[in-house]
Amino acid sequence: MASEAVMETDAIVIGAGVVGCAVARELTRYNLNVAVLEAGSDVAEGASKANSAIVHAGFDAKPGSNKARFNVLGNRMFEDVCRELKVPFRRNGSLVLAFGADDEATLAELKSRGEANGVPTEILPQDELRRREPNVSPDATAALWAPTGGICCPYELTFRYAENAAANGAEFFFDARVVGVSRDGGTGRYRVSTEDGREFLARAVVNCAGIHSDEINNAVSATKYSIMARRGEYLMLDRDEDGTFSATMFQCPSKMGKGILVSPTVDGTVIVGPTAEDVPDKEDKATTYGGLEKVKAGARRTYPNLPLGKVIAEFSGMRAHETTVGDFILGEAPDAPGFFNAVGVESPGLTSAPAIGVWMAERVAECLGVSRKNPALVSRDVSWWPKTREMKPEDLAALVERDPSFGRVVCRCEEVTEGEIRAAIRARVGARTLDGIKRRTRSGMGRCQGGFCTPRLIEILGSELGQPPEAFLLSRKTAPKGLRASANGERGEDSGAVDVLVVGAGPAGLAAACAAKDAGAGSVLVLERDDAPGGILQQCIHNGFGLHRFKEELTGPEYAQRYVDMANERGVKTVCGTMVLGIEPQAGGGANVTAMSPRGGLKTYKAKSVVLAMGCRERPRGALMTPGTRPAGVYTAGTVQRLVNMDGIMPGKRVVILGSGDIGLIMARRLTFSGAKVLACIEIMKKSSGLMRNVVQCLNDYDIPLLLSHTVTDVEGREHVTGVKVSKVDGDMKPIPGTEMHFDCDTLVLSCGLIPENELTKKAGVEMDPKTRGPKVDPKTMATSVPGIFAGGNVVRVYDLVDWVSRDSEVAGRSAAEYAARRG
Amino acid sequence: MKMICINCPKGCELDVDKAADGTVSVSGNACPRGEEYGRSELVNPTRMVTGLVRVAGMRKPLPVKTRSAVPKGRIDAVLFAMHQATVQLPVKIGDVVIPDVAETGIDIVATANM
Repeated sequence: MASEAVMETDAIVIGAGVVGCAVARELTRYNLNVAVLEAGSDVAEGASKANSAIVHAGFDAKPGSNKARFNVLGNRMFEDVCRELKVPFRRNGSLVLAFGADDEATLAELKSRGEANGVPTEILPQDELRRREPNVSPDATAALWAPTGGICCPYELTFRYAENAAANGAEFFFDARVVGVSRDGGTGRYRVSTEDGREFLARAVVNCAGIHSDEINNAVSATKYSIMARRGEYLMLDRDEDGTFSATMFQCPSKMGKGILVSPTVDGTVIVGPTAEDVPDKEDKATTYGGLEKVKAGARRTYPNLPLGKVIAEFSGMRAHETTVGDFILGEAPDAPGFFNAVGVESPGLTSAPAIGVWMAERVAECLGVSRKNPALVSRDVSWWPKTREMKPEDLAALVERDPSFGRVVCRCEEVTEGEIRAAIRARVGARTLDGIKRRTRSGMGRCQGGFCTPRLIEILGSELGQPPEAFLLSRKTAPKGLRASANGERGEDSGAVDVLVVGAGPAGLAAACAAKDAGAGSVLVLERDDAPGGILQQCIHNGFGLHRFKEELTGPEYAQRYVDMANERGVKTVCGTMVLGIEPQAGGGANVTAMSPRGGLKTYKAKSVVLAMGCRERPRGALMTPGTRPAGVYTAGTVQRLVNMDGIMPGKRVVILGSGDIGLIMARRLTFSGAKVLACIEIMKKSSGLMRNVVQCLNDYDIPLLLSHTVTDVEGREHVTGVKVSKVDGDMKPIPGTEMHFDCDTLVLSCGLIPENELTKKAGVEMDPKTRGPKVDPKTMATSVPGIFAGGNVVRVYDLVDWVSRDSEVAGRSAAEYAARRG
Repeated sequence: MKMICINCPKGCELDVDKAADGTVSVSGNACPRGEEYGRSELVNPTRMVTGLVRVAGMRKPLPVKTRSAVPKGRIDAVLFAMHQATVQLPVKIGDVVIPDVAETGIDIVATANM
């Protein structure tokens, strides 16, 4: 069904993972037309997006194997490739830990294998190991040190390879799953057809189809291969854990893999994993309860103090393990001239990719009789978007001046700006999905895992691609282009001197600002990252606020408006669209506060005193370690509240709520009011964590069952949620086998607690209270440990009632005014 | 009859009984509002309803509420009326969006300035 004309090209690359993109990019060095066909909707959709992100030294592959050869070659190329493509890479070295004599024998074996492969290693005794890595388990008795080991971001490398390939003329086709490859006996050309009905003719085909590379090969060649999908589950730890280990910490390898590793990443997080489990379904990328338990147990051998509270995400990836040869199968198929394989490229595939790319392109060029390299190759055209968080302040200021959208922070956890997101969509091989934005810019990859930025991201995707925003919540398919911008913040003409500076214009910040004015502060400035003051109350449209503070029952927006009006009456200055990036306490009190906005760029304020009022964020799915797939349709309750109440978007029709926090209960009623069926509210504890009155008026009134001592034990669905499994839990909150029940649903809403948002607080050097996860404060003055810095509201501890947020923040505001007055 | 008062976060557990002569007694309440709630919950339960109303020409909806509690049995009718309505901007907090909603005698008012 060739509805379109057959496309003729020189070479076709099947698969846009890191190997496919490296091959495509190297092919463009020759005068060749290259088409890349990818079954998924983006590059790096398979193993390249979910692996250990390690550039292996190469000591453990069997000497003489393709794995050993390309690992060592690839490893040596990494500096140059990453410099050329502007990809972060760090040669942090790797350590293989031995726990006792048996393991130490393995180390010696690895060392001699390393020698055979030409990889330098050294055996470290326990004291030297502990000197280098103080957080390593005391049970580790020795280690093998490989200085050439490194770390790299695998999908970033893939994006940049793809972008550079496209800059040099390679064409990318997405949602183009190859369903047929056949050789025309007469012309010797290959006809490749895709599921979406396209036909391609090419003189050469390179099979880089990862876990499906056996199927592609077997359609063409009589030499059959068989790929077993080997799943690996991982945990990711928060950036707070950066620096825990400097090297990549391996354990002694077994025949199922390299053991559980703990490694820093180039993004500052810590990766822990993987398991190794052969799965019959190649697409079954779910995480499992048992798998995550194995990761935790394995990681604790290396890192006994593994902090589970710092887990921000868990995921799984598939390695393409070839079962007949057990090595990388590279090169032309013996019975199919012009058909090249990269089959069974599992670990160390990322490390080998640059070398495979160069080698494979040479073979293809040879076969096609091309030897002259393209003199016009644009090897350095990779500055496709700037990363504002890594820019020098003066460069950033100039960029924001040119394009204010680079001053608008969309993802607050990873400090990603709107400009970067738009550029990532507009790139040659641009983002078309939420996941595509996430992996290109890190927006949504931080602590809150997209809880705050998802509504903004779908709006930007919608405006750039000419689609309604909700389309990006439902589908991962590609879409066709538009533009829009508005400025915010304030320009930096004045000196920036202020008496009291308040961070956050929610109920806490506004109450503090009003109280500071009432206590005689001269100038009070409130900086707010959102486009309007009021904080989270703007989306809390239900009633029940203000009984204590105003002696009447108000809705969230009404309560917020009272404070906005009060702040205006008192001459408090509120600047919105402005993200505070740092607070630097000054000797002698006060602090310099650096903030970024679209209109003002970077600006530093000199404040005599500061009130922290950043509020809190929700615990995301990653922190809950709920097993299952990672489809669209899982949201925190606050994100759903924002979507429904502010953006007019209904995320689904059949909803299960996990956790009985107040926002979850409120959203059970709101979603019911808006026409959804809320099937159940699932709570792991013996009683609801939300207020009883909300259980009564949000669940009981609408016959929504509350299942106590239950939890979600599996999330189902590939693209979008199709159902969840719920199990009863025992006294230790462990699921009880045999109690599973199933709900068909399209949405899972999480309401599992709030966490004070204290990144700025910590950066300012304020002492924290591990119990509240907020700063330690003197309850009489709300003063923190740093003179001149005060705190109020949910940033200190999570309150039940906004009335008490306002009350305590007023104390902070008054104290800040008095402190500023004393400093004169 | 046992019930939980929904007036404030305390959530007092009330004991509400109706004597043979029709008089209603409430105990367990910590404040007079609790007594009132218990009595009304037995005789004619009511709820405040908050919701959203479409705004002409905008995706963002307007948050609204019933000015006072409406009978529980009328909530569906109130929601239906909210769903049917479209408002023109500008709107201020307290502006009547739907007068006498679903013949309850109670107005729907705006809860945000837009």
